[in-house]
Amino acid sequence: MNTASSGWRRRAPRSSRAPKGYTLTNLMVSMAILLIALSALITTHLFGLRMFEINKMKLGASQEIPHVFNPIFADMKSVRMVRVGQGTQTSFSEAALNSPQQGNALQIYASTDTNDFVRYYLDAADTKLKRRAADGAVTVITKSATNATVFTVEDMAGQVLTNRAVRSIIGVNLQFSAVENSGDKVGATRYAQGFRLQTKIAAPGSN
Amino acid sequence: MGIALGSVLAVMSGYKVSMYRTEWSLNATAAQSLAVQRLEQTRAARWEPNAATPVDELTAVSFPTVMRTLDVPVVGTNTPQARLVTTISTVSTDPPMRWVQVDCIWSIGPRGPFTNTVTTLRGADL
Repeated sequence: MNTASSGWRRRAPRSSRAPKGYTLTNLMVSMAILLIALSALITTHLFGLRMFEINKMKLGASQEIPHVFNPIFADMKSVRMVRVGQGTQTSFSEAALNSPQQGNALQIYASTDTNDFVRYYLDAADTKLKRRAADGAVTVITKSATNATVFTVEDMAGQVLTNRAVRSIIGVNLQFSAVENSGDKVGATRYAQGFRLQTKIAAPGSN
Repeated sequence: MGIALGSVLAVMSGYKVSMYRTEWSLNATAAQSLAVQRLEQTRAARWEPNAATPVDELTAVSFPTVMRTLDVPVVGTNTPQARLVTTISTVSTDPPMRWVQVDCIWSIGPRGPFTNTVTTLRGADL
């Protein structure tokens, strides 16, 4: 039987001299492909880590806004009168008349009883904004605040007043050295150079 | 190689979408805060129609359209701006009542504009 004519061909016996395994060229090409794939993977991973850090900081900043301002807005809803000046946990001195109504502390009175108040103050010792409740309990509102003047009494146009007014606005201005919720520091050598929070709250009964 | 490259690009695109959504969320919260600030300013405006000398600061003239910086972490020279538009209209004259609307309009690069709106009703100081 002629196998060649029927389309079948016997496989040639493998020569004992045929190469076994891979050549150096094969190995180098495989290594190069692997290296490229690994480089792409590591680059993607590092890119992901960077994105994650930036996202963390931004989400932290996003959470910070209601976290800081909601308690102040809630207390200001039932305000009878407010005072701005210098204060600590145990003391408060109102800004003098005929001088800019500003300071590190805000005292909110819910009634005419001057012993019934809530005080917000920036503690310079630990750079924390704190809230002293009417019962004397102190809670930390936020950390890493660096500016000395946090609260101002302003007119409608945003000018700081030098006296009490029938209608005024309490300005709140906080400059941070870090985003509290994420723990990321901000500054000239950091990813973010600065972070501040500002708001204004009407104080109808501030006279 | 094509599949691997496609996978890497897909992962990176996913991160970029996540980044964009986070930034959108942050800017929206900051814009809301900015709009509330402006609304509080209108609440502090004097409007005393029955005074011996009537005072009316609650007008569009007192609250022109302004540009403000959103309170977000500052990265490089990137300081996102927002436009504050205040609309004041009379709801009734007796009792005196006005409707105040503040629109805070912002965008992220070429995307947008997006608008955060807050409104309130304001009575006169009697």
